[in-house]
Formats: sequence, C-alpha cells, structure tokens
Amino acid sequence: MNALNVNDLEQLTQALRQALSQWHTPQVAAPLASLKIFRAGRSSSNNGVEQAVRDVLDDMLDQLAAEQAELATLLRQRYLECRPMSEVAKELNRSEASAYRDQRRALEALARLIQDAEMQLRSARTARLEQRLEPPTYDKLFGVHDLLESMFNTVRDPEGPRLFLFVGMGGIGKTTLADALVRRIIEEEHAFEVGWVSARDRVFRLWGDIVPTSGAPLTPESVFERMAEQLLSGIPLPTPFTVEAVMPMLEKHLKRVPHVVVIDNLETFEDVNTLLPYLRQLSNPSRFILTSRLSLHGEPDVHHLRVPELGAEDALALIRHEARNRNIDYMLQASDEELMPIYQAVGGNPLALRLVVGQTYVHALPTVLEDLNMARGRSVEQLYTYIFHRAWTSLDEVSQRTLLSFPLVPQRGATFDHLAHITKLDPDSLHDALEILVRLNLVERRGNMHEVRFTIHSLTRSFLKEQVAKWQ
Amino acid sequence: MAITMTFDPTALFNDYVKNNVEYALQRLQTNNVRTPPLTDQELALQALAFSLNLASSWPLTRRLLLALAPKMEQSGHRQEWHTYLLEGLHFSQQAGDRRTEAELRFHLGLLYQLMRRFDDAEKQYEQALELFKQLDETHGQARTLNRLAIVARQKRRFDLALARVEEAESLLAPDDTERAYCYLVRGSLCHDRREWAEAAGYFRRSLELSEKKRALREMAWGHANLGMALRHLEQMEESEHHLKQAISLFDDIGDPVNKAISLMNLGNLYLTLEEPEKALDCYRQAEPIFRETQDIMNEAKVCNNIGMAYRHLKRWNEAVTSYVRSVTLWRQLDNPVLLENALLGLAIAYLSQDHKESARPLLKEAESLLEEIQDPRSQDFFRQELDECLKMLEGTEETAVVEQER
Repeated sequence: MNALNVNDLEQLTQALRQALSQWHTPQVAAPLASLKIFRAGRSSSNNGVEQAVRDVLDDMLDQLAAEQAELATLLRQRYLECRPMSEVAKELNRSEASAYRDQRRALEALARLIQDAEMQLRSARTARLEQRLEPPTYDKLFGVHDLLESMFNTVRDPEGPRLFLFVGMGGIGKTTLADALVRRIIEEEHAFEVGWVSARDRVFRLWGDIVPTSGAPLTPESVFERMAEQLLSGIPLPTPFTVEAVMPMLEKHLKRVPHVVVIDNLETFEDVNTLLPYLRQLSNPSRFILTSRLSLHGEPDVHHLRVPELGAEDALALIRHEARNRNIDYMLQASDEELMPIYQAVGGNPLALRLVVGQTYVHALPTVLEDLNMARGRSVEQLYTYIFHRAWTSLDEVSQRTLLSFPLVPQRGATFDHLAHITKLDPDSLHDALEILVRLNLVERRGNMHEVRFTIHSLTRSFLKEQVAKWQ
Repeated sequence: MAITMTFDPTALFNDYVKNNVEYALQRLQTNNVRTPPLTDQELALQALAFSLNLASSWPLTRRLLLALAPKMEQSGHRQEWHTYLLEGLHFSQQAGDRRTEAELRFHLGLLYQLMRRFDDAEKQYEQALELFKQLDETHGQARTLNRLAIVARQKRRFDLALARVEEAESLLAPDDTERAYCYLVRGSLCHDRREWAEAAGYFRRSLELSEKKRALREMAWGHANLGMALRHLEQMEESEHHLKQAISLFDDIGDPVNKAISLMNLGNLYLTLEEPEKALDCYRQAEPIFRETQDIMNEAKVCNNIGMAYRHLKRWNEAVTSYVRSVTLWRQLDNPVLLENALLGLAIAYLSQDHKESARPLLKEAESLLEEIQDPRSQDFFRQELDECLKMLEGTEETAVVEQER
C-alpha cells in the first residue's frame, strides 16, 4: 500500500475519484485506505474495510451537502447511483460540459473536507504520541540525516529486523537519533504507534553537572510497567504487577497495533539478557529500538547501528549553531581554522562539543581546551566521569592495560599484531580484552574481512592522553 | 576523574612506548629501501611523538629516527618531518650523542636543501661535516661534502662545488657507492656549462657504479640525469628510454617527487618532438605530486610547461589558465629568468587570442624584469622574445615557441 500524501490536494482528489468510481466494488477502499480517518472508521465498523470506507465517504458527502448541496447531489448521482453525466446534467439543468466542471469542483471540495478531517485527526495523534517522548535535547540535527533516512526505511521494512541497537560512547547522540527517528515515524508513518521507556539513571547537564534522574534503577519489571502504563492506557494493569502477568496484554496490543518502542540507556541494566527474550516475544510486527553504550554482538537478531562521531564539517556547524543559540558572538565570527582545535580536542562527540561552547561563555577558548586536555575544572572532570567512569570501573586489569596502549595507536588504528607488540599480552588475553573494550564502545573496530584495525574516539584519546601526561 | 589501578601506570606506559618504537623499527626493516606504506609511516611518527618525551627510550628512538629519515625524505615529507628531526637533534645534543647529531644534521640539511632553504642547508651540512670529522667518519664526511657541493651549485658557486666534490672523492674508496653521487655532481656541473657530452659521460659512470652495487635510488638518479643530457645531445630515443627507466625505478622505491621531475622531463622531451598530447599526459601526472608535496618551484615549472603544450595545441584558454598559475607561483619565488619565461608565455597566449589589453601589462612587467637577468645569453634570448611579442602587440606577427629549460 502506497501512502497517500494528504497535503497534495491533487493527489487526494485523484484517489477520491478512483475510490468513488469503485463504490460498488471491493476496491473502493484501496485508494484511500492509508488515511487515518478511514482506518479509524474501520476500527469502529463491523462490516469490513470497504463498508467502513463507504460509511466515512457517505458522512463526508453529507458534510458537503450542508455547504454545497448541488455538488454533493451531483457526486451521489454520478458515483453512488451510477447515472450517466448526460442524465445528471439534464436533471441539474446544466450543460454537460458545465456538469463536468461542477463534478471536478465537487471532487475537490470533498477532498478538502477529507484533508481537513485527516489533519485534525493527525495532529491529535501527533500530540498524543509525542506526549510519550521526553522533551528533545536538540533543536537541529547535525550529520545524521542519511543515517536517519536509512533507519526510517529499515524500521518500516516488513521483512526487516525487529530489534535494533543504537550503540556508541556517552554523548555521541544515540538518544537524539532514536528521538528523531520516532518523531519522524509519528509524522510520516501512520502504520506504527510509538512508545518510549527511559532507563537513564543520570543526566549530564551542559553547565557541567551530573544529575541523577528520579526513581530507582530499572528492572525488567519496571520497564514493562512503564511500557504498559504508556501503551495500555485506560486498561487496568494486573495487581500485583508481574512481567508474566502483563506480557499477554502487551503482546496482544503490540501485535494488533504495530509500535516502535524505544528503550533508552539500556546499559544501566545489570543483565540485559533477562530483557531480550521478552522483547523478542513482543516484536513483530512491532519494533524495539534500544540505545546503549554496550554492544550486544552475541545476539544475532539484534541489528547494530554504531552511531558515528560527527565529521569536522558537521562538528563546526554544530559549534556555530550552539554559539548562535547562546549568542556567543566571537564564536560565531570565528573562522574554521580558529574552531578546528575544538574538534581536534574532543572529536565529533556532540555532547563534548556543546560543553566546550558553553564553557566559552565564561572562559577563553584556549583555557577551555587546555582544561579538557588536562582534565581540569569541574565541568570537564564531570564530563569525563559521565562518559568514562562507569566503563572504566567495570574493566578487568587486562582490559585496563590494553586500553592504556591506545594513545600510542595512530588515528587510523592498530592491527592486533601491533597491539600485541605494545602490550606484550598473550593473544588470548588480548583477544578477550579487545572484545570487552569493543563491547563497551571504548574501542572501535574498523576494517573489512581481510584486515581489522582497532582505534579509539578522539575524546577517549584526549582523556587517555591527559592521564598519560599526569604519569610522565 | 581519578583513575584507580592495580598496577603502576607510569612504568607500564613507558614500557609501551619502547615496545611501540621496537615495533615501528621492525615494520620499517621489512620495507628495506622502499618507502614504507602510509600506515607504517604514521605508526612510526606516533611512536616518535611519545618516545621523544622519554629519555630512557633514546637508544631505540635514535635508531628509529635514523632509519626513518631517508624514507621520509624519499616519500616527499618536508615540513612535518622537519619538526621531528629538530626534536631529535635537541635530544641527541642533550644525550651527548654526537654520531646521531651528525646524522640528524645531515638529514636536516637535506630537507632544507629540498625546501630550497640553501643557507640553512649549508649551515646544517657544515656542522654535520665538523662532527663527522671529529668522529673520524670519512664516509659521513664524503656524503656531506657531496651535498654541500650541490648546495654550492644551487647558489651558483661552481668553483666551490667542484672543490667540495673533489674533497669527497679523496675520502672514498674506488668502488664506494657514494662515488656514484660524486659523478652525479660532476655531471650536473658539466650540464650547467652546457657540456652535454661530458655530462652524459659522468651520468653513465654514476649509473654503471650504482647498477653494480644495486643501489636503486642512485640508479634512478643516474637514468634521470642521463636522459636529460641525451636529450640535449638529440639522442631522443635513448633519452626517452632512460627517463622511462628513472620513472619506473622512482615509482618502485616510492619517491614521488623525483618521479614527478622525471615525468616533467619526459614531457619536455615529447614537446621537443612536437608531441604535445604525450607531453601533457606526463605533465598532468607530475603536477598533483608537486602540489601535494608543496614543491612550489617544480609546480611553477610544470604549469609553465602545461601552458606551452596547450599553446602547441592552440588551446588558448587552457594555456592561459596554466600560465597564470605559473606566473603566480614564480612571483613567490626569486627566479627572474623563469618568471620572465612564464610572463612571455602568458602574454603570447593572450596575444594569440587578440586579448591585447591583458598582454600589455605582462609585457611591461617582462621588460622591467629583463634588468634583473644577469646571464647575458638568457637576457639576449628574452629580449628577442619580448621584441617579437611587442610586434605582435602592434600587429599580428606569430612568434616562436618559448621553451623552458630545466
């Protein structure tokens, strides 16, 4: 089914003409079936899709009759009663040519009524679904348009994956990408409803604070409770609440009405493996998008999307946008050359880039960059803590030793052989350590079937270099 | 954020720095005379960036610096690599390592020479020579004297150049490979005097010796210079053969700058043979290499030559574009002869399209520049060219092609 563009009146008029021409056939529904008003009508009708479409069109013709009776009559006689135009024209006391012109006007008027009704229904839907999301932390997207487009198509693909993982280091933009994707689905893909469950236990504020979010850390019970509260509104939840008890209710709902549900910040879960079987059960046709700093490469049915760093051009555009929002004149007037040191220090990590711009409100840029390199100042320390602390403390000694070799690795990465030479670790230990570091997204694996290289994000490099500088 | 660890990170990281230098050395050794792949160059530079901050790693660091130096020069690195050499020099002085200091000064001199900073090059070579003398390193002295001879030649102090090369020869055994370089210097001095047959003779001897020793880069230089001398002797087929050999060898060892120079000379040969399309093909391959390696002088030359090739083809707009680039570059360089040459080439391209107003200021500039040309033969040649251009400006007379000599 091709989605009808409701904003295109000509296209809508054509579809309407086609539907009316097929009034007495089962094909009456096809041209207009993608519109929400007809799908809403279908859910309240017991007489099948075709009848639901006929009912809605009949109502619309009544509305048209209230405003322009002759036009409504013309359409009823032509399409519902299947009378030839010559006869209709005669009855309406028109020439045949003039009757054809009226028919065109009538179709356009009816299409406009359908358009208004659809838009009304859509804005109500948008408002209802957007309430489920957290307020966006961005007002413009940078560097992810192609990725967003590709994910939008993949998520909607009926044959495509059902479980998605947006993975990457802290601040890289996983939540932003998921948020942008579900907002696009709300706007453009009416076959899906959306849901959002946040497992975030703390937030990094751009003035340099880590703020714990309210509530206890999430468990599978609390995730499904939040999900059920959001998606099954109006339906009493089981008491006492258990996952086993709510699963059939959620399953029934998610199978009947396809959803795209985001579970944000999955890394806060102690054991993701307890959650995945339930998500598998609930998926198809629904989709789940998980965001996490941890990869799940052991799960073959989870479609991984590594959220990349911004390239230099997008990073500079973000810096300038942020400076404009904060009205920091001298940053706005700075040349690419003057702004490049920011990118060189923190790479394309949007959170870190925004922090740097925020800091220049108070300090000179060289001071801010030096603070970053020397991990000085509370804001910078907090940024590093926010991004690296949890990961670092979860590492075993061999993995820590391996990570410490990475400042010596060139930008394009090191081969396994190179890392083995630097660390002098035996191949098995190094292999295990790299697996952990890649899973935690502290190290990035690049390459192809023939050659694999390991590298780190620029911000991780700055962080490690700063640590190394302290030791030397 | 304080990192907590169950091991001593300083000691561990310092070990890593040394291990990394060892690995970089190992990678370089696998490449022998050829330029290492970019990944290994980056790896080595990253290793040096850390080891040059760690005194205890100096024995390894100096090995890496000295192993890397000829390869970095060969692959066209200039400014960035120069910084590492300076840091290494500083370190060697602190460590009282005179042998390494002498070698690093030699490589710095070479880099300055290639960057056409001849005074700086001379200074470094002289200091290197003094250190080699103190260390009684005759081969090091000979190598340095040969390069000092080249710098003297560039500064047009031909007698000094000859004296330097003679001194170098006096220090070398009869079959020492460095003698191949002595022959190159002698050949170049003959070339400057337009003694083409003598020049070709020296270049042949250089080539024979380097072939005997399988010294690939010296072989490539031998072919390249011989090819040029033979062109002047109008032995075109043999000249083409040697230039092609040079290009192939420079390509094999990963020496893009010298490959581009030989391509440019092959282009010049084709232009002499009135085969402008083939010439353009060579120039077009050479131009991006000069641009990438920021070799302004050779870029200026090749742009001038591209302009000439387009003039042969009467593709005037393309000729103008290339000459404009050449003139712009020559204006940045202190070489009135070649600026004059490019100005006249551009003026002719304009006049051929009847754009007299564009040509007029160029001819004015060329006229005033004539005063600065000291070589009387060149001055006469350009005066004649200028007169013909001025006639074209007044009328429509066609002029002969100005060919730029390398």
